[in-house]
Amino acid sequence: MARMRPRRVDGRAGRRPVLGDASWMRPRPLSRTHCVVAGLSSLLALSACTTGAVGVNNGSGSSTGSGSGGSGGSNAGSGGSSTGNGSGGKTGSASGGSGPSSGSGGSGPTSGSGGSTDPGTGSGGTTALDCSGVHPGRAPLRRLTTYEYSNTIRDLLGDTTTPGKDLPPQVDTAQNLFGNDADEQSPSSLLIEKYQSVGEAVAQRATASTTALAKLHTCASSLTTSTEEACARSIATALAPKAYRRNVTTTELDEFVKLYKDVRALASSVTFGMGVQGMIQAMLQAPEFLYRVEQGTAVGGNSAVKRIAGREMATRLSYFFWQTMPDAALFQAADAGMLDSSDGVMNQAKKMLDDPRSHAMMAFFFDNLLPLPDLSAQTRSTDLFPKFSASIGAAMRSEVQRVLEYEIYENTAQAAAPYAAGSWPAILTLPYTFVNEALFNYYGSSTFASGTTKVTGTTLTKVNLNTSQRRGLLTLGGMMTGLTTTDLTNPVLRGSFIINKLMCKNLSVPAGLNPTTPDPYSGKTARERYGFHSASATCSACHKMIDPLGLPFENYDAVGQYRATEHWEDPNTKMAYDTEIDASGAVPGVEGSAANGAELVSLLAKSSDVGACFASHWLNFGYGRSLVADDDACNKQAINTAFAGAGYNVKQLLLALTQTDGFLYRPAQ
Amino acid sequence: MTRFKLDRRTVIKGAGTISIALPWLEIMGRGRPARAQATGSVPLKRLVTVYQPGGAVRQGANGDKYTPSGSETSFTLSPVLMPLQPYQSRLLILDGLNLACGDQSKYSVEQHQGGEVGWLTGAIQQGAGNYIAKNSPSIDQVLASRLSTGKAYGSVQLAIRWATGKSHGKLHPINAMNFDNNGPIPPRLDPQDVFKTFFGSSSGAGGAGGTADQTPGIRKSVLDFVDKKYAALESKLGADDKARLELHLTQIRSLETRMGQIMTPEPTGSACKPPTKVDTTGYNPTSGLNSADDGSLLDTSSDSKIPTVGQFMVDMMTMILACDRTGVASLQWSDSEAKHTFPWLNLSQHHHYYMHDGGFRPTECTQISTWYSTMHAYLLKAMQAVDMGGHSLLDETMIFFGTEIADPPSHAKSNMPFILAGGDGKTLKTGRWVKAAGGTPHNKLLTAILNLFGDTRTSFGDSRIESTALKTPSLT
Repeated sequence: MARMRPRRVDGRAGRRPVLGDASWMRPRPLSRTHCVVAGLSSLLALSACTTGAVGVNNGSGSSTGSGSGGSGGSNAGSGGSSTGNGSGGKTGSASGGSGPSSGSGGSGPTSGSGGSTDPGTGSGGTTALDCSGVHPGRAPLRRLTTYEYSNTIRDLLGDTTTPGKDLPPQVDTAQNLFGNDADEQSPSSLLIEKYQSVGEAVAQRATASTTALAKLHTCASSLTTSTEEACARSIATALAPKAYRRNVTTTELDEFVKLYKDVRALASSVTFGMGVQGMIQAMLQAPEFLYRVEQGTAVGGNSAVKRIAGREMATRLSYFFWQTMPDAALFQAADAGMLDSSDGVMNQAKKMLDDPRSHAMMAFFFDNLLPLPDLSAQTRSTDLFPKFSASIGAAMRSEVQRVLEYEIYENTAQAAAPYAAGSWPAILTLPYTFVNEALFNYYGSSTFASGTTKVTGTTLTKVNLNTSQRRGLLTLGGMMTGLTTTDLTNPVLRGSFIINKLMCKNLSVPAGLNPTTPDPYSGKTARERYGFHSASATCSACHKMIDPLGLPFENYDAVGQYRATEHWEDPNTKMAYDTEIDASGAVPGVEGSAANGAELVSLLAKSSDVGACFASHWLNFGYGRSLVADDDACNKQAINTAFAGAGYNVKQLLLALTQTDGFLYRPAQ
Repeated sequence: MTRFKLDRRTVIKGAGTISIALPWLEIMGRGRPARAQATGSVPLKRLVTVYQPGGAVRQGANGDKYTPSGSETSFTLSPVLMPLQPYQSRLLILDGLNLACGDQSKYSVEQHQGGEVGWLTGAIQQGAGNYIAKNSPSIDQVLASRLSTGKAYGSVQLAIRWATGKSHGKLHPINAMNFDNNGPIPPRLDPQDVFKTFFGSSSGAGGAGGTADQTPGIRKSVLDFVDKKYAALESKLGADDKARLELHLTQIRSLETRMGQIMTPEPTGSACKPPTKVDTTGYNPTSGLNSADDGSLLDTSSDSKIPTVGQFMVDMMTMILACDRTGVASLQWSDSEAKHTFPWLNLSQHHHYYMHDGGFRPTECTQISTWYSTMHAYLLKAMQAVDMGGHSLLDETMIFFGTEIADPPSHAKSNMPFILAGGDGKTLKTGRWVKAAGGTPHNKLLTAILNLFGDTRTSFGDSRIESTALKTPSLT
């Protein structure tokens, strides 16, 4: 490898395609036939420049298209009907029917603390959305992602080799940015083959020595011929309930012991360890391990849905907050019936979110939403950007993640008025960042509030920003570098990221358009180079939204440094100039205009689209699928109402997610 | 002890003492006459699809470097195709077809992606970032049930330096080429793992996909156990989830069947001879995981190994077919992003840069395409060198060489540079350069290919596109 960079080996990559083939955003000679296409007459309607891509979308339920129509099967599978308006009000009886294994009585009322939805006109003027009753949406069977597979094997067997990296890749999808869309992860022949070989290797390591075997159960440390079979049973008894994430029956244990005996009987050379290895191999290929099987419990008076309770709820919570199997305490809570009411789920969710293990999940989410993982190995011209390096890129990624972690988990003082601490709009407009000595020197003291003491050492330290230059997440060096792919800034790339990923308006290149990007020497500044967008009706249909979102960030160069002027050279005369940057812009759907990036982020923070979009990403991630317009309208409304009600607090959003019908229930089969 | 094992050892020994620099086939194979001498026709029994990125060079500062000149049966190859000249009589060069399903003027498809997912499926990408609809299988998967009956693998997909750009090592519409009814199929990326899987088991015959050597019975006992678990659970689930598990179970059963078959010794005199294991140190098969959208992160170590790994993959694919492990194989040279460099050609930018990211560079694109032709020639040579009993492996195989766009700078899908190869001269009438009328949808070719193998359907792919079997020009 010429350049390696730290990134999750088997996680989902961070920087996603923004608008179709990103190559069209890079400098290329400007073609005069560019942007000529028929049929894009409406300059105002967003739909004029959307294509058939089904997006996570925001707000009103029915705004997503459905592919490009015509022939072919449905993209979303058949899906359960969600109309079940059976049992009247949402707070009606949800008593625990047959109950989970330990079945401690009935469950409480469904409306959780602070998360109750009021049907009707809640947010965004949705028309006639009836959310009475329970509307879980779909719940396709989820298989462990490669990332979850690694974590689960770590917690089950203490194997820290991240074996999931040897499985075939997760299937990428357009709407779910987190590689966990259950509908798209079809079990290929190669995957099944790898489950066999990878599981075999894991099982071999777990049984490689007496010491290893004794970790599975102490009985293995003092074996005699007469105790072997009993010890195999003890090991199965210890492991299987954890591997299956539920209680196992005596019959199931008998089957494991029979497998052990069958393997031992194959040859006299087959050892005790090999017999146990066979059991573990089987466990790791069993559907109960690889899939998150849910039976649900019946809901009185509503046969259309089932309640998720007990260990099944423990599993949902654990894979959501920790991306791994439940630990002993969580199983204990489940078995005590503490997860059988929405209040119980809320209480547990609070504990799990406060646990340091949730931080890795939070970082995973933002690594996949934001252009962060590539930062440590971005390449730039060393002549143009002598201060930029791989270590600066890596530090910038840490900076962004630390700012997010601090604001979400630690900050209690309001930093970005009028927004409350820990809220998404606050994150978008924060007046501080975290830097170490290298970053302090890289950005230069003018980046920081006057009087800021120089930061020394390698620890990231909180410093206030000079808010006339920078404010909020988007203006941080890492974001601006990550949203640039060459030595030249590209306002279309930056604007597209905002509109597609932060506002969930899925623009893509219209049919028949073969766009090119302008010659870098065709104008003094980016605004001049991209000026032809507004001259063409075709281009401006989309670009009147994209470009005003991107141009305000022109004050940040290709490596995230602040600049007041843009340097350019006349290719004919070879004369160099520095032209003052006009960084004005606007946010679609929000009144007012911005003079620069620091002002633009304030407008973004006001946009209801931005809040709803952020919540949609969390729903996709938390549900492990892609939202479906009709089925999920009520889930979206519930989360948006709760998010707004909590002042857009990020932690509250995650907690509210556990109170949505999509998390508490599943459709009956 | 099986014959298989003896052969492998012999081959390894022989190769080792001669030279390690020469590709294996140049040591072992001696090249057979172009045509089978047997009277009567050799039926087509196998399909190979070979993908190369980035279309043809038919325009640009240096002019057309791709299109042959002359007449249908008497033609001169262009510089790009010249490396294939020794096999000219085995080629059916098919110009003029329109990759209609990737036509951006008609459908909301992406420039490269629309062509990538549509090449073998004839299906239309469902908007930016999406795949084609479910139940739109590629021709290789359609034919797998016909050509791989009784074989260990329904199909085998191999790829070299794959998922290079913004797909970040993942399956993505920009690199997915083979589809079954449920979606895209991941290719095998690691040459050492492929070797181990197909040729490497020390238990005496090809491995069953296990990397750890194990008493063979253990795997079988385990799979028996697992099989029952899936069958038992299915009955407790709803229709959609049941279908998911059913598919999983089907794959487990084919793994079980495969293990049984692989334990069977090869018949005496078999053409099945495992290739020599090649040292691929320095090549990171999952380098794509570390890629950047724009190709700015280079892995020149892996890039420099592409020719070595590529030839090794071709050797293995040839023997996977000759050993009858499958009847259907696919090979992908990179993906439609192709964000890797070509150190052995002294090209230090990535392929996409030469296609259009850095402005169209016809000289470099010609160099790259010509190199791919040398690799295609290597494949033809390898397959022709395998004696299947009076005729060559190539005689009973049809190879479909294709790409996702026609022209790098415009991403046009008209006049695609497609080439068919193989057959015995009767099953596929080769030694020709033919041209379809402008606008003829390539779906018609896909139907015609299916028909050649005995599948009698009259249309294929998206119903919006005309797809009756191609008659003019005819393949036979």
